[in-house]
Amino acid sequence: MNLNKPYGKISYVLRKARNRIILSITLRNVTAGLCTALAAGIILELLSRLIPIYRVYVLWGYAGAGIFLLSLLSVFLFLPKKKAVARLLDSFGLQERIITSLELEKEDSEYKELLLEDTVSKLDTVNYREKIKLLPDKKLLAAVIFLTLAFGATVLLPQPLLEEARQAHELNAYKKEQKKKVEKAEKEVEKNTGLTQVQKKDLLDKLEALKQELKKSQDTRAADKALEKLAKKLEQKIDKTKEADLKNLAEKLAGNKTAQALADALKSEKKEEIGKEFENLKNKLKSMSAAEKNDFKDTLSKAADSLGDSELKDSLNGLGGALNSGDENAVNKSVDKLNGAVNDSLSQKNMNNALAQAQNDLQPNAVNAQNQGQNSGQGQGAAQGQGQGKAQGQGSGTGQGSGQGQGAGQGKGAGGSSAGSGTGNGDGGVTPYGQGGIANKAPSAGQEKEYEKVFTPSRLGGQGETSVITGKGNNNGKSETTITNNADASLGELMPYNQVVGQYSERAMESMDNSSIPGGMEDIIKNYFASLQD
Amino acid sequence: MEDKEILSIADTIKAVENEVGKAIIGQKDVIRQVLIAVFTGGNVLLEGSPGLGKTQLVKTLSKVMDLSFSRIQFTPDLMPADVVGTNIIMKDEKGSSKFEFQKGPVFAHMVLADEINRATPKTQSALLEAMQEHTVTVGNSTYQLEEPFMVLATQNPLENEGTYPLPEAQLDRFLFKLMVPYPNLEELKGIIGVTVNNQTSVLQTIIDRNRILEIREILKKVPMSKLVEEYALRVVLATHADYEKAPELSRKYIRYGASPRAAQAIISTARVRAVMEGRYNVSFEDIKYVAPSALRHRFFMNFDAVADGITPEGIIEEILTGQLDTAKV
Repeated sequence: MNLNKPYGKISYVLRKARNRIILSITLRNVTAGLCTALAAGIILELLSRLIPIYRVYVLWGYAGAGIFLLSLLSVFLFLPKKKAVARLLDSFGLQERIITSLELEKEDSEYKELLLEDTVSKLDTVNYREKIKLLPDKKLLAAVIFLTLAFGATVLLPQPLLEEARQAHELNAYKKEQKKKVEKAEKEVEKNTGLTQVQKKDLLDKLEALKQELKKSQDTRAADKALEKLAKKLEQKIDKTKEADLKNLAEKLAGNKTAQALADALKSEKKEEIGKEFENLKNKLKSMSAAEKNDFKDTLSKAADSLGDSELKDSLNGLGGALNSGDENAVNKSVDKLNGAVNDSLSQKNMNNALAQAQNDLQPNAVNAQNQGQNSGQGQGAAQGQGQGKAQGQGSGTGQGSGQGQGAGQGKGAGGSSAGSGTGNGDGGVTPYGQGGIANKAPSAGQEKEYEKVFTPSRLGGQGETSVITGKGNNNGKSETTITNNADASLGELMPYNQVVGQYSERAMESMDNSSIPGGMEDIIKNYFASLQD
Repeated sequence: MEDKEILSIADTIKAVENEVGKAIIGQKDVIRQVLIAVFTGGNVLLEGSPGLGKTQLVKTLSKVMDLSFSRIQFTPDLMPADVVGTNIIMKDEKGSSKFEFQKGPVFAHMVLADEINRATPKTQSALLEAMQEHTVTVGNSTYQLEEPFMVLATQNPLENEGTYPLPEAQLDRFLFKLMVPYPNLEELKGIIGVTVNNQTSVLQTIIDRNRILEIREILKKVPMSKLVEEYALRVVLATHADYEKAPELSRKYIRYGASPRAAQAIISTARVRAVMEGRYNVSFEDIKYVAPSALRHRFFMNFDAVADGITPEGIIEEILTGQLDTAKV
């Protein structure tokens, strides 16, 4: 830039003035930003006294930082262009000399030289440094001081809603977390190809209803109750009979040569393969000898006896009857019916899996349990005597475990998320489900503990084979004795102490949830059951 | 054109202004604006009470600028022929008669149409062609008026009875309408000194007609920034009630806005004013200076304005301020 040339001189002055304008704008915007941030702080402070606002200072910090950043960034919006700077300098007494000179730069005018000379001579007389001040606006400065004092005053005001705000925040966080779990469960259900559309819809509806309940819940306890309610509903829907029957059927059929392939298919649990084997069975039955048929009938009969599901049992008995009749059509129909019953059982198994998965997904977290003064998971594994780390889980895990075969499946299903997995610290107690849990004092991963067995009457009237005793009602009759193989003659059984206490604890917690008990009493009950582990 | 020549223009105009000031006491602003009109090449309507020196001003100007001068006193019985001239039968040396055009008083460089609103519209309109085209048509013949030609008309705002207000078309042909103010005490003393106490002053001719024409051409080229030009145009547009950026006063009180001639007048006179101020560019100040004189007779207010005591100057002031605000960068 040649300052000896008129346009060089003009550009130099314009650049200097522009830099000064930018500095001035920055100062103005930052002061204005500070004012706004302080005003926002005061408003937030006052609001936090009227409505619960969690961590109001952190919130204000973010808002203030955002406003400050915006005020800095906004400088870029106000960056003056060359013509604007020229216009501003002209307004300082140059009377449009600069702007006209700039416009004439690429034009030819008889006045050009005279105008430039005139402009340059006047440029020196304009003290733009005095006009473009690098001091914040006095009004803004006064506002900053006033707002700072006001902010300081609001900080000193008492904060009666602080605790309420904290609780509300935690509830929201908890609800959000639970909602995520529900959504995860929904996704799992949607992905599950083994479920029918009706089953899927049923599950999804329940999960949706749970989401709504979570949304409405006023505290973590209500949210947990909603979760628990659904978990119970899901549990009720689990039908293990059909699943066990399917396994039993496969085992029984495996003993028969004709049905060996079908047994394998049943074990594989593949619907298509099973269907194919049933078709093969039809063909095989056509060419069977009488001895083979009898043998097969026996197998069917024994299998039917070992099953609990009436539909499957009827189908097997029906096939046996059809084989007796020798009617090929009847046999085929019976095979199809049996196929249908097996498919139903398979479908139920899938449903069971989906329900278990959903239950697993909906487990409340340990953090919340701790918030309620309870330690849900730690020591559960030990309570079940598994000590695998997997068998952690909440109270539900324990309850299910004990009720449906401890440690075999449910315990595992409920495990995994607890911090104390398998390494319990002896603080075990009542889970947020309100179900009892027994903690081991110092279990370690993989360690099993043998508990003292105690008598429990839980098997009274338990399952046994039904025996029919026939006889005639007369005075001369003789007595007959029938010995059954599967009858359980005992009035109870010996169970590990921890399982018994767990069941009692579970019942107690259920009772608490279903009836109104004072909060203080609940704690006493929970502490009592927690102390039993000692 | 050399720079020296441009530089001398401001001095020349200043010298004329000073010379006229010797004979006309006070009225500095009126003198300055009349000079702007002279160097722009436009007609001026002077409005003021009798005895304020309007005729003296025109006479002085013609003398200082070495221009021919004629004065027409407009009366109700004044005929158009009395203004432009007429064909009369003349006998030549051979005794044969023929029509010969006898030039009227309009054939002068500076024509003072005194109390123009007292003549009938027919006579007033006789001046229309002369004012706009600088020609006079009588019968089938058209006569070119010698340049520089300008009409300085006066009208008395006090005695409205028996007057014929100038039609809008004729008003639009006046470059400026100047309000001649009453002199203050000091100025009045000066007037008495010159006129009553016989303190005569000798006026010198500063400039001639050719030089005036040269200066006019040079001043037409004074640079004007686009910003300033836009401001001038916005000012004119703002006299229209339906202009989106027109101020509230315009919307409420203006019946008809200024014509494009107003924009021409503002821009061309602002150029002259810039040079008179010693600048080589037109500024917003120049526009503000000339706009009231160029606009006040070019827009017409409604009855509400009269009832509310609104003056054209008030509206113009509002427009000038408002439009400059929007012109800020």
